[in-house]
Amino acid sequence: MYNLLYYELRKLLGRPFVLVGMLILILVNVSCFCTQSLPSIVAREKEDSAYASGFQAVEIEQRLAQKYGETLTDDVVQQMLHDFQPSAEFMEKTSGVHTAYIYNNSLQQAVQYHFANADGSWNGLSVEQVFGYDSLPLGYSAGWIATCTYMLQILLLLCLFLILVIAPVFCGEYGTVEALLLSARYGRTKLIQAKILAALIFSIGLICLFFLINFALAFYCFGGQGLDACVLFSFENAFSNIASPLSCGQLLRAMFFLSLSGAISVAAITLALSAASKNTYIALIAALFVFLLPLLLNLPSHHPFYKALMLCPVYQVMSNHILSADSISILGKQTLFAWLCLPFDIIISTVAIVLAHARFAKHEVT
Amino acid sequence: MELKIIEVTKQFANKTAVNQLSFSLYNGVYGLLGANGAGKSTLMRMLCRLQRPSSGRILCNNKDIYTLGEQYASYLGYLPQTFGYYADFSARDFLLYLSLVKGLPKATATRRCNILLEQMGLAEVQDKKIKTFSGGMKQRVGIAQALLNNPQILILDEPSAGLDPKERVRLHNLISALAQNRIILLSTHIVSDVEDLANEILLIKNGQLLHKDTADSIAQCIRGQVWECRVDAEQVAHMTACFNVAKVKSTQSSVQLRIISKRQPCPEAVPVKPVLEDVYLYYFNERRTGNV
Repeated sequence: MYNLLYYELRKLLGRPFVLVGMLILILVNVSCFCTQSLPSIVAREKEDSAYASGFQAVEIEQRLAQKYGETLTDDVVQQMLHDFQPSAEFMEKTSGVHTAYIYNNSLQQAVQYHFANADGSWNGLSVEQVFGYDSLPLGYSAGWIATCTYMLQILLLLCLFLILVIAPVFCGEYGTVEALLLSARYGRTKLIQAKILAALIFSIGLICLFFLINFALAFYCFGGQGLDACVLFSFENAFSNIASPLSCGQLLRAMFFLSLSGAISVAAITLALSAASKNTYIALIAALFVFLLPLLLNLPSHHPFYKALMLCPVYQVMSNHILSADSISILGKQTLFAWLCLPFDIIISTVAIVLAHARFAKHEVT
Repeated sequence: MELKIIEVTKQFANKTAVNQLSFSLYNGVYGLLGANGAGKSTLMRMLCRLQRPSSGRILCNNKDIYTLGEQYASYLGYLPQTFGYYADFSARDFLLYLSLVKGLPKATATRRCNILLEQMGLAEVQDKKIKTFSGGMKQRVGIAQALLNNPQILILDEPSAGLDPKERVRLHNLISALAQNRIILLSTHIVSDVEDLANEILLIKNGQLLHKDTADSIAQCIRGQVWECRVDAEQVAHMTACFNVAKVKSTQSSVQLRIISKRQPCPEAVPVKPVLEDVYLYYFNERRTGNV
């Protein structure tokens, strides 16, 4: 079985387009990091100081975050509003633009976005009124949030790439080697298991590799300081509406598990379609259609099927959507709706894998 | 080893490829003869469990091959008429991979691969990618893979296709050497391939078995219907239009024809001893069977 698995993995990875595709994806990932993360980060402590960029900007941000301690409370909010209050001269220059949209640093922008009027004065809201909690973990989160944001695009690309790689796993044998395989002793049993296992290992490996790359890049640039900071206390971003006060570290973990289970579902569904299709093109088109269809439906959040749609793999991979769905009560305990993905994925993946197995095992050579 | 085919039928949407076939195979070499579309490949695929019969049963040592499952597959070696390969695999990798699919332990797989690569004359190119091979070399890889598990039932669909004369002789010798203690069923269009090699010939037409006997016995069924005559060059066109002409051989002064006909085709024609090729033409070139 292990030897068969080795050959199936080799068949998957040995095709030139797979290696070229992975290289392109890594390049896209690095360019996303460069355009949306560290080099694009600028900061200054006050409106009259010069902007710093890159590592210097991160240093400024981290120093500011440390200055206000580890917890966001109403007192800390007041202190921040006081410190970041723009001067009358400056306000004149900006001619009525909300202070949150005049960027100095991410902390200033976050506090003014949630707690200030257009002129920078307090809007009267407490931490509990804004976030539903009387305190939140505080720290420099903007770097990690930027990383998580571009990763949403990368993860979507990874799933499309997975479909491209896995689509020929079964139907690629039809009309070529099928007769040799299916007349052999393990052709209808262990070979199928090896093919399925190879596809799943590839999917898991790909997701892990890209999480590792991005985690390493982000950790090198931002360090571990912001991982404890709450994602909610930030300027408007892809994760502004998530239903729970997750820290950046928790968000990364949630994204990792959701993408992993989403990728496994995508792989399983693609395998089933591959076994049932006459050729690779049909399998590829069918798998892309099934994967992308929920995005095209674009249901409003009050629609009865909205939450069911959120469980589809594409929304698991674009995890900001599913993490924004309202929490649900399971056994009297409030839980993130996103965790429903796990049983859903287990069911979908199991059914798809069983179908793929049965379809290839019963395939008749014509 | 006994393979029993009992009233096997394979029906496709608008065609009956195999119709109520019944026969038994024992250890030895069997040649499967028939025109294109006669049902040879369908029969072979059913014997390899690649297609399920619409009705009827196939028994191996009195057990249904579908009940035997993996055990039956471990007896089997199959060379399809056409087969693909993995472009990035070398001959050695391809054989090692298939031996694992056939359930051979790795050490045995390596040993069998070495033997077969040597036997098939592929040892020197074993590490080259199959996509660089000629048609004959690919066919030899196909034959090698069929023999990997030392099968007790060897099914070869057009094994000599693409082989040059030297390779064909080598294949014949190999099949003869393997014939002990196993069933070998091979289909071919080249009558001479099976005439000398096969213990018995199975002649199939429109999915039905016409004959199952030795080549000589089958040839006897058209005794008195094979003729040879010499005609002028101008008469050849007329004769080939009117009769089932098996052979045309030109000499300086005339043309010698071998004709399959129920009646004497011309006064000069003399009856000759039929061979298997005549029987093949008798059944599969029936448009002109001499009823003129």
